[in-house]
Amino acid sequence: MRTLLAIARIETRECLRSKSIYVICVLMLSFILLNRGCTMGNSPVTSTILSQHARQNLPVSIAFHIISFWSMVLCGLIASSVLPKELEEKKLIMVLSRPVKRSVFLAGKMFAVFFLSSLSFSLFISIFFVFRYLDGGYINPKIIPASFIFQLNIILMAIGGFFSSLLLPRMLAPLAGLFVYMISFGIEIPFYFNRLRLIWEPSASLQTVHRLFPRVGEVQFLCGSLIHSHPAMKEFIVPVGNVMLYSLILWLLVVFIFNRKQI
Amino acid sequence: MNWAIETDRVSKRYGNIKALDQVSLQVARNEIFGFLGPNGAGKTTFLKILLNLSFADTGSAKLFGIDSRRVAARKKVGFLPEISCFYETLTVEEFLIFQAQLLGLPQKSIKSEINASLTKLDIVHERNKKLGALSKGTRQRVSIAQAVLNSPDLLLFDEPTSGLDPIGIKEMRDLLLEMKGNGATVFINSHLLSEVERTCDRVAIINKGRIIQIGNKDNLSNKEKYLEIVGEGFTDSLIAQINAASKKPLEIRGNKMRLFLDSERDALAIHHMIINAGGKLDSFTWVTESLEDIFYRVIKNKEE
Repeated sequence: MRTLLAIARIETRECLRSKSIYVICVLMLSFILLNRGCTMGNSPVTSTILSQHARQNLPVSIAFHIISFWSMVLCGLIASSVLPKELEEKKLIMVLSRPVKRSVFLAGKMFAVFFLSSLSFSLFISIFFVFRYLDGGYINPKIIPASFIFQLNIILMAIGGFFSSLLLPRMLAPLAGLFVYMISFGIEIPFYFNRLRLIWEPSASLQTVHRLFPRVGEVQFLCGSLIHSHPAMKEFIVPVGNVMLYSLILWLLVVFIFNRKQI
Repeated sequence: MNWAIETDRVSKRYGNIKALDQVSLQVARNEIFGFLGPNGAGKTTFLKILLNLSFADTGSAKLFGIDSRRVAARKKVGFLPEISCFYETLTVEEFLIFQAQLLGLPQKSIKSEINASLTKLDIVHERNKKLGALSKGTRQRVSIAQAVLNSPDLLLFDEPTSGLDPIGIKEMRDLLLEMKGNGATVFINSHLLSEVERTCDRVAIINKGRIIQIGNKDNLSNKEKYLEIVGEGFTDSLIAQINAASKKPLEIRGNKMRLFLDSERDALAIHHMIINAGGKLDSFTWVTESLEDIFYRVIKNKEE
């Protein structure tokens, strides 16, 4: 465990040197500030798709999804650059020539990526809700379980980033992770919102794609809903299990591939 | 016997290139072993296989009797890579603390181990400097400091004197001998043949992935004596005359002639030949081949 934490600590420092982290953080902050301009419940739009309740909570939902999106982007970018950088710069020789298992090396790196992505997500969610408190005098405590469950998505994104970086060229690896995330998020819309299905029934091929992709989008939507409504806990079981299973399989594949990597 | 390093018919290919071809080698405990070869001979690949950074296609490698693919084999091994790739934002001390943690040293002994290592390499005053801001020589010293951390039983050094000044090279040599004195085994990949000759107990010469010569540096098989003649007036006809008489390889570099002869009598005959031909002699001496000579001869012979 000490070895893992030592590797994670060094990797965290290395990641903090990356300028892209700060660019994404500035973007997240600017979206939060823009969102602050939207006052809850004053939307004049009437809609058959969104209920009055949903419309009232729209700014919170949008903020949650934007922060989630940028946290996933951040996680994907960091995760997909960690191993190629180590392999290119040969820094890992100094680590792997020590009595360190390759899986521990990977876990240390993974921990650092997860820690930074999770930290930025939690930080910006906190900033957003502090603003909400300042404006409305109330903090929704459900943000805590919602944020907690969302960490599963970050873990999967981190592992996915590692996986794609071992198989794809350095420039394509982060795009592959984002592609899977965006597809899984976008494809979830007609499946998640019952009212939308009244006007748009997903085709058979879309349903197949939906079944094949990890349920990252569904987990995110459920977390968003959890903040202002009461989805039944059993609704979480399938998507959460799906994301955990994907994470486990991808992790085993990452370890398998990396164990066979010549340095 | 429990060898420090033991490999059995290790082979490795990179595409069509044979990096290692059936390399079998045993290095005894507490010996300094020199591994010599031209660029691309397979020296670094061999070290990588010992450290499980690369994998042999066939054959096996063991460190202290433990399969080199197992983590336990690297418990008491210090490695100095040819090029040190550091996390540049760390200070020297932070880097060594990290290395000590990787070694699994107990927290309370880390400071003392690092101090000992820094003192040994004479870089105590550099401890708070960032690695990225160090000179090439100091980086090499830091790299050596991490390799000797916790007094390993086996040191694997890839070009240890690279980037060091003459003082650094001398200190490096002393350090190797000190480590040997403390019971460590040292395996050196090097181009600096004179350094290897001074420090190593045994030497192996590798070329194109094959070990072509191995032995004690003082009685390396086929170690020969040659006659070194320095003078003037080595005309073509004289050289042809010497060649015909000796029937042995002859090398001429400027005013220096090198001849491999069988006996003192042949040497005397050559002496007369030069004097009679009007040549001038500055020196006429028997020289025992240095490691550099052997290396050059063995590699050349193999290529021819």
